[in-house]
Amino acid sequence: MIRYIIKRLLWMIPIILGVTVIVFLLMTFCPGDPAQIILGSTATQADLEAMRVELGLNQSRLVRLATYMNDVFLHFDLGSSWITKVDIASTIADRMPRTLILAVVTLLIAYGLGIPLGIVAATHQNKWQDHISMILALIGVAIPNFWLALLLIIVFSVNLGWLPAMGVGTGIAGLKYYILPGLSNCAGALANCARQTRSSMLDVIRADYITTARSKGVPERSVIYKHGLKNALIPIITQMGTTFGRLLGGAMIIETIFSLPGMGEFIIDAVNNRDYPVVQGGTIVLAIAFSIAMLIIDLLYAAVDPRIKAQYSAAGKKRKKVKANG
Amino acid sequence: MAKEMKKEESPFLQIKDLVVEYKSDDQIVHAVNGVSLNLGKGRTLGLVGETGAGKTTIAKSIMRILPDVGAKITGGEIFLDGRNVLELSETEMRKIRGNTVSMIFQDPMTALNPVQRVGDQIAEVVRLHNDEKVNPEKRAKEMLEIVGIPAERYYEYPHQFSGGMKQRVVIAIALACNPDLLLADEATTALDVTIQAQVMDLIGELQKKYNTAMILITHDMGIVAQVCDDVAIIYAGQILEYGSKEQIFDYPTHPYTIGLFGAIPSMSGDEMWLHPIDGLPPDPTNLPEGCPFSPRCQYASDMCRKDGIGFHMTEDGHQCRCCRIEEIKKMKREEDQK
Amino acid sequence: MRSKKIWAAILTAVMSVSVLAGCGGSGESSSQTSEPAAVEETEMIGADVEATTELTDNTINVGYGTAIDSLTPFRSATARNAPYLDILYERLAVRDSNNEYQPYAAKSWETTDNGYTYDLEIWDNISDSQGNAITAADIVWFIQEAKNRGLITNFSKVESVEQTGDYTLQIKFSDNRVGVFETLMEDTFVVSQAAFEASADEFATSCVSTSPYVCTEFVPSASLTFERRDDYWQDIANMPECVRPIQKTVNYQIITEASQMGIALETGTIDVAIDIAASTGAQFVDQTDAYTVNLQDGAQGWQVFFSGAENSILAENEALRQAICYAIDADGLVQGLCSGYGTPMWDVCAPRLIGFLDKWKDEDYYTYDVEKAQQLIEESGYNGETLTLLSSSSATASTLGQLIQNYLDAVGIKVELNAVDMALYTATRLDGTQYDMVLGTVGGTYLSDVWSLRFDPAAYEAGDATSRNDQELADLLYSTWTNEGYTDENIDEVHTYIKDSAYGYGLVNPQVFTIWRNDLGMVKAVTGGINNYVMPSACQFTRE
Repeated sequence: MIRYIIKRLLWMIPIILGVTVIVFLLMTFCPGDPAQIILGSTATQADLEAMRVELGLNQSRLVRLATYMNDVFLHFDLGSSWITKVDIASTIADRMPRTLILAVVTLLIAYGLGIPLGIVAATHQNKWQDHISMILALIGVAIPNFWLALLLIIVFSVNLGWLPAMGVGTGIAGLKYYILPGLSNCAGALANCARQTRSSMLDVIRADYITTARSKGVPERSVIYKHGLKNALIPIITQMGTTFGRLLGGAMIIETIFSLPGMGEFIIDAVNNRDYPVVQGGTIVLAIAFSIAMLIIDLLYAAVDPRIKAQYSAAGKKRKKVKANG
Repeated sequence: MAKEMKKEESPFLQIKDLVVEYKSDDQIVHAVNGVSLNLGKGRTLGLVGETGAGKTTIAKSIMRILPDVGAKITGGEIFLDGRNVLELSETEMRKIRGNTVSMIFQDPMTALNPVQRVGDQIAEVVRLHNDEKVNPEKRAKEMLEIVGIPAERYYEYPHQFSGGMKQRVVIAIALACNPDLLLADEATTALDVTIQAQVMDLIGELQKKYNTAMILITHDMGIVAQVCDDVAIIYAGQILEYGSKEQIFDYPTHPYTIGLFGAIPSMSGDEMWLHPIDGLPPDPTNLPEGCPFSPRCQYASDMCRKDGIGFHMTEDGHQCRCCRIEEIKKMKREEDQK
Repeated sequence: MRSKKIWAAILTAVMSVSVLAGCGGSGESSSQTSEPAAVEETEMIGADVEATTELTDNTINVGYGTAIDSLTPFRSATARNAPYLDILYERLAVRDSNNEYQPYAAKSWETTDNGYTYDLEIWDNISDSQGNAITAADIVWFIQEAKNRGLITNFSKVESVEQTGDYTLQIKFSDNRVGVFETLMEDTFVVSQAAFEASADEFATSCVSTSPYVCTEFVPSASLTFERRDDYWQDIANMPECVRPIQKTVNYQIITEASQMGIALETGTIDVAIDIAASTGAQFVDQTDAYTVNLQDGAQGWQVFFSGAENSILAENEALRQAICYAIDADGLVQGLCSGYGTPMWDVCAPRLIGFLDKWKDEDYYTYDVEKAQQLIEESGYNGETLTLLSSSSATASTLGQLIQNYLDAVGIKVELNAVDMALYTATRLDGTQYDMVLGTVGGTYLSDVWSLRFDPAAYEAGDATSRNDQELADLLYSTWTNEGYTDENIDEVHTYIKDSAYGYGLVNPQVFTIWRNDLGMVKAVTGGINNYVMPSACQFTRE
């Protein structure tokens, strides 16, 4: 198992390198002059030239790539934003936690509500509970999240005054700022989770070991949750992984509406402003976060299904065997 | 051979006129159509029939673990030690399942929960039906030893076991709480012959030890011959013939039973062709009127196609659901003499 | 199964209808509000109230839509006009509500050689919140440093700057164009060099400034909190009214989404919303019992410029350009773009710019006249060629582009819209060969700022900002370049030339909404600064 984890962590390195190179080169092909954007419309040609030299834009692509890779991977220096001159690493350190918390809150709500909804639908297949659940899921996928956000703000912030409409806070008390954003963001994920859960549970409920469990006299609740759900989790966990990856990119619309300065707004603004170092730095951090998330997902598989855990451990052992023999 | 059914005291299991229907796509599947049988403690009943005859449905009805969606017990009574199981609440039923009645399933490969430790699956049934005085883990390890699996393997998962060992685990689960009735649903069909023999021996031992009644569902006449006391032949959800093992094997009376035995290839003698029974089992959504076997029966007459053919007792305890028993006996004698 | 599909179809239809009906994106497009209220600027409350020197313990919460990521004093042009910058640092001079420069950290200044050399004196008792005393050396250092960093191009016009006394310095410019020095005063923040160099991150997260306020909390892109300090160096009576620290605490909330700003105003999270989008602001207009809505003319306005490049048919065809100007209905733009909250324009430059002559408001500025347009089109020999209109893809620009396209289509001129993202727009708009018309919102402090950006053929490689080379216009422009040359006559000549030749056309000037809650008890709303915004720190109010 440890070998497996280490192997995966080592694999992250070429992935991060690859992402960096690809994103860097892609950005260089985008039309648009960062110097123009930084200096604004009052700049003269001379000023623009000077700025371009300062930014290193006068050098060839490969030289710039090499310099950047050197800075980031050998000196761990992500550089500063060309537009605001603020250190990128510290900005990311401020913004990433917010995006992470929002992603986690969204996931918790989506899966906390979606899994029970899917189970109810599966255990009452084709009855009214199933129909209602699936209609709710359909609505969830269809609702535009900005519409939902504004609706929630009007109800919970303006009319009831229970939750803040915008902004960020610190510490445990600060978590209340993430509730409405999380709720607005989770509609699609909740719907997909409910549908996936329903479908996995339907497969699982037909299985023989469920009949075995019932024949042992296991209470129905345990049959569904302990015996059924645990086996149905694999596709659900997979879906959770991809959803989390998407959420990491930051829900830009939600961040804008709720004035939550997170990664989404940061990177997208940087793309629009051709602020290359920010785009690259942000992408590298996201790639790392995503890889770690995928690793955690794969480890979750192992925790849930011992057959997969055996596979991971066996992969290491096989090599040992071959070496011993040959 | 203790052929006499103990009619004075009521038998442990009594099924009376059981009718079970499945609803599928607006059609009704008549799975079980008026089955009655009795079984005493310590005795083994073989339920024989082709696939789809309704054998598993009967067994699942006793435990009331028919799939919720679509299956319904629409008639009859099932008495277990004097109580009508069909009238019990779900909570009371759960106390019976795994405890008084337990089931061994057909396919060991899928019968165990793949993400739960093997020992825990045995311990679960122990914990459900015993109070704190009994240590479930300890009992589970005992059961493992009894079925011939080292106790250390308690902590392993099903995928680490072979098919035969998995089936033994299933047996361990079924017998962990000393059930009074064991339902073995084609318990050895999925196993190869040598393992089959081991497993049947094991079941036999335990049955003797605990005086467990058993219903053995199978389509393998060989196993029936080895293990059963009584035999019931099931066709299209009805019992066509019922009697002790010797009665059925030595004196098969119903044309279907005769056909079954005839279909078994002979080890002696030089046979070129198999002798299957002509035709196919009837469509359970559209059963024929009268005797369900009549479309395929070479002795069928008009009377056979009329509803309400009841059992005829031939000897002490040997029952046959056919209205032309005497004529058939006559015809067979004539054939044999030729 | 079938019933599920029917349900799905019905729900989809309902969803699409409701989404389309409620479509408003980030709230910038036109909305269904009441008929436009007065198009006039509202007079700020308390115009006749005396300026006060009495400081209070009040707290005021302000909402604004543009954020900054860093508190550094060396800034680029982004968010240059944000109202909180006026209390983050002290400028050498600040504009009051009459658009005149008032001494702030600088005490006085003068030039004797027509604007090439300026002698500046600063106050002799300036100190920052850490107690560091400021001398002219700090100012010299700042200007030099700003020039080196090249973030604001105006600093590159400084040839040399040197300290001439403890509190005096001399600045030599390479260019004596009007406004160069004033802009430098505005963009020079007073900072102690020692404090700056001692900071680990160049004041990015927390700064030390000479302002009466200390920024006690800064969440990048989210909020800034200011507390007045007790050891402020200046005598309040010496300060321009718009920067007097009347309030003790000022909280700025950065709210990027327009409707959220409205909600914050409704719930009382903010007391004042500065520059709130018209679509949200308009709904407060009728709630006069609870809110006061102020309209100010925009600082820049929107214009269309015609390409001067050889490959464009508009370059030499004055009749066609004029036809286009006549074909556009300014009042229609005010309705369609600003929901009635805007004014037409009378020149390429907005009235706020220094040098704008009021008499231009009485002139005919291509008043909407379809017949005249068609007449000119015939004269021009237009043959149905398609003209391209370049704009950025922001909601306002693309709406404006569509409106223009429709007006021109009504007189038979075919227009193709080319809306691109901001970065691409910035890269392309100076190349006249890429378009026939380009939309922009160009502003500055003086008229000559806009002219030098747009009409000076020497400014860019290919000519002026639309690749045109009109030397005659250039000469007129250059005559206004200096302080002495910046006379009403010279200005008027340039204005008339540009207007007659229709090189560029001022389209519409959206108004700026500033709204505050009536329970704030506003007695005097003080404005000033680069955009003449309400300055919440200097307002007088009695909170009920």
